[in-house]
Amino acid sequence: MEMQSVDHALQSSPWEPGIFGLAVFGAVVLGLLGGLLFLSARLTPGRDSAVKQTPYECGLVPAGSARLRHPAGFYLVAMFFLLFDVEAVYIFSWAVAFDASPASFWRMAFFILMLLAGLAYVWRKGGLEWGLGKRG
Amino acid sequence: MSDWFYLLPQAILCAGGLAALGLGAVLLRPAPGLQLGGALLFLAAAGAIVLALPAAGPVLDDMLAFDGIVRFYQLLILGSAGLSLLFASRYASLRGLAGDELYALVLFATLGMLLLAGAANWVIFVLGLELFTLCLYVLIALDRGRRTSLEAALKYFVPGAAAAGCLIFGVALIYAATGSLDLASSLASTAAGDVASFGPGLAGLALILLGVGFKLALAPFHLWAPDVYQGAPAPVAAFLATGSKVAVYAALLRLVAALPADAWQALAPVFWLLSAATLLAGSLPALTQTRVKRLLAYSSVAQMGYLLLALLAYPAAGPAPVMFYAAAYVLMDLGAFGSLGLLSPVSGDLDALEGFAGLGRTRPWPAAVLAVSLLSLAGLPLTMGFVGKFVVFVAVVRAGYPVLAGIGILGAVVAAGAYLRVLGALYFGRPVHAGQGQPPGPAAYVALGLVGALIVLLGIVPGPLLGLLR
Amino acid sequence: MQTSALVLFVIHALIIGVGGIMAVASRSLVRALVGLIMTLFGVSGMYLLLNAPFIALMQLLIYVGAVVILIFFAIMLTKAPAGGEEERPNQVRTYLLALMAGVLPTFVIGWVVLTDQPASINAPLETGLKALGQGLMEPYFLAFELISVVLLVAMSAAVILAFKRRQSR
Repeated sequence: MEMQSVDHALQSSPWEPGIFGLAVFGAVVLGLLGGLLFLSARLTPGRDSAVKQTPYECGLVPAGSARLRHPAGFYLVAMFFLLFDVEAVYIFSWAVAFDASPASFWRMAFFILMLLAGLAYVWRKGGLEWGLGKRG
Repeated sequence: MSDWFYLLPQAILCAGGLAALGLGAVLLRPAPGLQLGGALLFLAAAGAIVLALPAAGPVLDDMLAFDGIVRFYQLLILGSAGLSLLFASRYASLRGLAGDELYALVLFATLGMLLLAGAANWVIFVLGLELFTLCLYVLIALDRGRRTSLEAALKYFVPGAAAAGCLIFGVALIYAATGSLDLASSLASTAAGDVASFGPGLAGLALILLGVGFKLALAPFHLWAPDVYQGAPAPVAAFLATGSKVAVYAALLRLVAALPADAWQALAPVFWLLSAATLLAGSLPALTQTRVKRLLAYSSVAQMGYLLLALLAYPAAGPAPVMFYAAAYVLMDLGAFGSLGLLSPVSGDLDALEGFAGLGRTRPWPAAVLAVSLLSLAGLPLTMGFVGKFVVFVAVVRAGYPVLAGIGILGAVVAAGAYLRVLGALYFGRPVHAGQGQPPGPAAYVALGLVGALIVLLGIVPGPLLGLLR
Repeated sequence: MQTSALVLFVIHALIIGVGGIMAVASRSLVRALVGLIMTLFGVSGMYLLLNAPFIALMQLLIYVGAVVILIFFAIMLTKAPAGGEEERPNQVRTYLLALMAGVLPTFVIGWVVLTDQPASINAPLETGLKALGQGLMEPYFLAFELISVVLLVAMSAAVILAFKRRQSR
């Protein structure tokens, strides 16, 4: 009984993903992908050679191991990127809802100022400096 | 009175944290005295405002609650933060840890705890909890030069992150079941009869209990506690053991108070099992434990069990037992971990039992406070711990859980033996190496005096405080 | 239309499930990470299916764009051997425990949600970006400001942990 009412409501629902368009789109994507893969597998000669087995097929012989130890600064930069990335959610939704009222402005101002304070702290403490800088 | 005044304590703590960070960023090496004084000033200002604010219903669009219970817990949290800083300042500067981060992170963590203690909305609940946990991760790893400190932080972080996930999932389930993020009204509409909201609501509550149980180190989720308390610097362990636990209990108390009767009936057996397991898991390992920091960690687990007992009796006996025991617990654990930090040499915190031999004679004051705290933890008369346990047991028996009271008394007796071993070492052991450790400094003496005096004073005349809580 | 929604749901659930299994079972960390990316994409698709396009986009931006990069850097920096040295020999007990840890909560929550079905609407309504922003500004403004405090603490915590030694100049 419940299921019926659900079905009935669904028919009048405004939310209707166009199944035909999706099916055509899916078929085109799959066909294109399959065709490309098939052609590249059939048409290429597929001969192996030592040069081809090297990493980065760019014609240069690589020197040294590919496993370097990277400075921790990379990780920190990625972390800061993540933290500033998260803000996007809040700033976008604020920007769309902004009604030019002072309260709205000052609330976002506090948000941004806190983040600026964080950035200033990180900067001052050397979080943005690369490992090879003057401090070493 | 405007709602905004209720945000003042939080705003002051936030400003304090920013000021501490700013001081560190401008001066790079600010004087420890200046930082300690400033941090204490901000804590005191927040405390004064908490004292002065009149009780009110939920404020700020029902985000924060502020009644007598919240005020008491917030004062307890502020006091715990202040005393931890007094214990920590010289400890940290002797070990080169007294940067701006110690003070800033303690202030921000206190902000999170205040918010959790006063949260009336699940969003504030989760954010407050995560804010102070984030600060604690870093505080535990403060002594980065030591492997144990880092290990402790990692052991707190990884399960902590999983527990946070459970907690947030639980909140989502409750929201899905009731359509409300308001703590009181969402719990109230998890009522029976309404099948659709009861089941998912209970599942959500179970997940929330799991996340909260981890933070509190309740029995099946307590395995991190010994390692983390052992690895963390002693004053940080003091703050972790007191402030964070009390804040979570304040929130748990409001949660239990908001539960409708039938949901409470479904949850009471869970609380029963949790508290019995926590009491046993905290007390029994103490028998064989020879490392004092781990012993204190297990004891803190057991104390969580007593607090849970008091919480179980809350619907029948009111909030006075759980509040009084929370105050006693804060003082005892601050005293124990704080004086342990003061007794420790710079090379590393005292841990093995032999290290404590004879310290009662060579370092009388910190040793005396450690002894008083241990006696209180053991629940001996004339201490606050005794009164607290007495009040809790009476409430539990009255609420109709005599078996649990029996388990609690059994655990207390078993653990008392372990504390007495430490006391024996302190006062009757032969000093191994005299003169280890540094003089505590005036700030720590203030903290020692306050903690020691309060434990004894409130143990002898508990009447006024108990009357106030009723 | 219900069938098409169901088909899309199953496709996304498959993507999430296969990616999750790949992330857990893969021998090499980098492959496990690819599995994780797959799962995150699948979750993003689920958000679209729930008619929450903004959350779906943010899922891509934050998780696929930043969290995955962070994990990849961690793999790079810790110099994990590509062969997957971190995997231990298979133990039946480990698998059983892992299975229990996974199946038990899934079973309990699934059972509860299926037996006591929460009142649900027939088709997802889109919560507009504007409504979200207004919610953050008005009732949830305290949470909004708190998030900035949490982010500030996270930022300073990162620099404190990473540069503790060097900063004592």
